[in-house]
Amino acid sequence: MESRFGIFLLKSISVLTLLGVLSGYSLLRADDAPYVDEAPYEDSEPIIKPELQRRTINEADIDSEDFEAGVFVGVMSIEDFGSNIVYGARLAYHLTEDIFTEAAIGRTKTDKTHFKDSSGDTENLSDSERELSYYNISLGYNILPGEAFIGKGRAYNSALYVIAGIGNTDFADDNHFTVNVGAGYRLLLNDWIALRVDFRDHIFDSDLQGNGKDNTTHNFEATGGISFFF
Amino acid sequence: MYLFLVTLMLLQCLATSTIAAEQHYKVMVDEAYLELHTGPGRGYPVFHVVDRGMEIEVIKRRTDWFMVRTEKGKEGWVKHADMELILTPAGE
Repeated sequence: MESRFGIFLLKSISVLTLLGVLSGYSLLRADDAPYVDEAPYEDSEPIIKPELQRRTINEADIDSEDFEAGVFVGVMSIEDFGSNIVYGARLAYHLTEDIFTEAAIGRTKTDKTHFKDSSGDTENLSDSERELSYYNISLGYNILPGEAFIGKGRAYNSALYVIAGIGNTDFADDNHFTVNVGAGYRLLLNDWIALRVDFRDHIFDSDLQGNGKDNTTHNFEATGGISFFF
Repeated sequence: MYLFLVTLMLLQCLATSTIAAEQHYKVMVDEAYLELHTGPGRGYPVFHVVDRGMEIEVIKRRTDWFMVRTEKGKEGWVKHADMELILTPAGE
């Protein structure tokens, strides 16, 4: 009995000793491990060498469409000289998505002045003098950009804009410094064709009323047109 | 004379846009995604998103916006700032 107990005790001691030796060895290996494992990575080349490079694009090579040219026709009301057909052309340059500059020219032929009817006066202006032409340069600002939906399946880009500028009006053989203010609506049929509706007030001083002094006249113009981006 | 000048100007515009439509850059999207707007402005809605790695064609530019065409033929407008991370198809 005693001998069996002695054998069990001896076996237990030997197993514990073996476990102790093994755990100590594994701890030693754990301490050595970083030096053993990291060495190859420090010296070797990366397996995948990225050769990606950001592309430098010459933006000047991309077709830019900042210009917009078009024609328009509409009605222009010249103060005291009636409303008549006006037609013209415009060229715009879009500085940003919001701001654009625009140069425009227009021409109309006015009625005979109504003064002759009320005062019994004779006709003041000759045929050539009744021709009015203007040119101006303006600054516009696009507001409310968005889409206009026509029916269920069609959407067109559109924008309202406000615009103001200065220019000259040639009327009755005289040049008048002119300020124009207005607003318009641009509907893009595709990415480079646009339909435009434009309302403008051309304001200039005129002495054509016959009282010997300049009066500020407001001359409203409503036009519709088509324009092309290029 | 007046009408002649206007017509000439319009014809020139049409000719310019036709000729310039030939050469396009092909690039690869390297952003997480690229949003395509319906028009060249922040007010126009996003209608399509292109994922990283997809190829797009740069058609033209208007102010700070580029018109691009995806592999599936979708055309939309991308802001200049969003187009800075792009690669050629060869990764160059």
